[in-house]
Amino acid sequence: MKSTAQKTNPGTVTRVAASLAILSILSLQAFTAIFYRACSLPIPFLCRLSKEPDLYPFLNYAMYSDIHSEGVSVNQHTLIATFKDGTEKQLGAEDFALSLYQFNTGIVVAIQNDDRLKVKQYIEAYNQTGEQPFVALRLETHPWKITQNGVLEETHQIVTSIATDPDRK
Amino acid sequence: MSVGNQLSGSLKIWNSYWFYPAPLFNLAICRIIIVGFQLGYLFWASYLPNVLAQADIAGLTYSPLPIFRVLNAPFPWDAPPSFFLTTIFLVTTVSGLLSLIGLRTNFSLLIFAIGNLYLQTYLYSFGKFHHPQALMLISLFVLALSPVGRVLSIDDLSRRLKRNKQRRSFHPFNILQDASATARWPLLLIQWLFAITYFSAALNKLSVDGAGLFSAEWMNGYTLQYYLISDGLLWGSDLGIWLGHQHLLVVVFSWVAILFEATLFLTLIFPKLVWIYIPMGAMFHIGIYVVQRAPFFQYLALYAVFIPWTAAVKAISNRLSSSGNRQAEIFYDGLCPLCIRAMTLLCYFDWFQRLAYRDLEVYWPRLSAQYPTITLEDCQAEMHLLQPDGTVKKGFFAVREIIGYIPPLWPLMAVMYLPGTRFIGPKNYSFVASNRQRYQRCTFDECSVEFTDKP
Repeated sequence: MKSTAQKTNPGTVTRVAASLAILSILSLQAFTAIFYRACSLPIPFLCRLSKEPDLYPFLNYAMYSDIHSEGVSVNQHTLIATFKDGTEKQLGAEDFALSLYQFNTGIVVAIQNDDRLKVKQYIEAYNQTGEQPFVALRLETHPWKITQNGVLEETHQIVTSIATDPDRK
Repeated sequence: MSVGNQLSGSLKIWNSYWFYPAPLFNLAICRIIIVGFQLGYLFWASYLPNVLAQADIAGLTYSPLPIFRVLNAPFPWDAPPSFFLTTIFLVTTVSGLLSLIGLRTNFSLLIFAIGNLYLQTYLYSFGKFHHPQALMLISLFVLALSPVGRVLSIDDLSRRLKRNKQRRSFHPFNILQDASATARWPLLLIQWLFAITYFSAALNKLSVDGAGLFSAEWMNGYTLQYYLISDGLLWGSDLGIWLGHQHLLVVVFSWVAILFEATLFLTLIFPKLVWIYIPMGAMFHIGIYVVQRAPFFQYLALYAVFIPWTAAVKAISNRLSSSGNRQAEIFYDGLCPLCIRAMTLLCYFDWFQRLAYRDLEVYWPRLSAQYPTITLEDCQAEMHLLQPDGTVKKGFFAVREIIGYIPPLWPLMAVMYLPGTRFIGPKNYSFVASNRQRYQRCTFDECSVEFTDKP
């Protein structure tokens, strides 16, 4: 009789523990998945609880959810370095020992946001690669406009220029 | 109806949904696929170099995630030093290998899950995070809390070998028949997580502020064109940029993506739909990788939780037996401990039931009647395999043929057919066979036995 009880009890305990795990995990996932929708609805108290990804690995899956309409432009950026002798060269991710993603979301964004401190860090990273130092950086944008008649390439624009040589400041 | 009755009824429904007995084989196959994938990810995705380089990447600021702060709390540093990250990586990979083969399965899988969470949350403690690993990390913890090593593990195989050794006999078994009331919930829970995840993705795309509850605006084509061209430029995908120029095709893909994401939960209500949704999901994720470089390969491994592995293997077995493929018969010495171990091992991997195991003590009269030229001494000296076409293979050649009947052991064929094994193999087999132990046949004076009716 005693041995039967010993066999039954762990089963019940296991089921209760598993049920708690199921409920907790489902609640956390459902909360984070719907929570950020709640932020755009008039439920501000939910938004104050945490900001993504505070509950990682429980996340909201809002990737690629922003809507874009006809006429939206995608900007292709190019980074041009000017050297002391006046020559220019287009810089790529490999010049900063970065991946293409790190390049586009790192130094390009830093220049766009005029984040001088971060730009300085990237320039230092460039100088460590042993390449010829440049005296100015110019970020250009090449917009691609998505229209009903197709994707049209528009004329490029200079976003910003940064002088990196102290003599030229 | 009283509150008590209602509660009792709800508990019954809850129990029958989550804790209905299910094959342990499904859980074990998922463990092997999911852990195997994650180990591959750690090894081949330059994971450790990326982790170690993270602190040195220009422009990134260390800002630990809350979960990382908790995991890192027992240690004396705010940001872990390189040697510690390397140690965590090594411990994680070793525990992953152990949980893959099923040695101390639950403990090793728990360590593997914690190690992965530590390393991944460290990587995301520099201001940026991504989605692909999240579901994998939760799933590793879910599996670690389940009877994931009860079959298809070294733990289980050792248990069976020990048991057969103790009772000095081998009884054929089928691990596909092993079921547990706690084998269903982990896989079902991961399926639910998938449903919520995809539904969340669809909900975010369909909900537009100021446009009512839902809007089909996201499927206007321009939205996905924008993402395809943006990602194509960001990651250098020419195919993504090309596709971004095809408006009509992109409108179709937008609708397909939303329909898939918003309705995947239907597989939980109609399980047969997995045969439509899972291939569709695999194509979806491979497609978005090819055109947008969004690497959701973890999902492909996690899709294993949707597949009814046991039913699939049984269906193949039934098909094989109904199409006239009779079982091959192994005649083994039932009084030999080594043979008992070998039969246990073969039977463990004989998921398709391609072999019949015949103890000479029982089946010798039938075999001798069918093959008068075979002697009992020959059979006791080396294993005999009687194939469906009537041919007989012996010793090493029987073992080599047997492996051909057991698909999970096919990788061993490479060793069995190495040049020279025709000569070395039989010699090794004879050496081992001639030096093996043999139990004495029980008599009334020597040992007590339980009489059972044997066929």
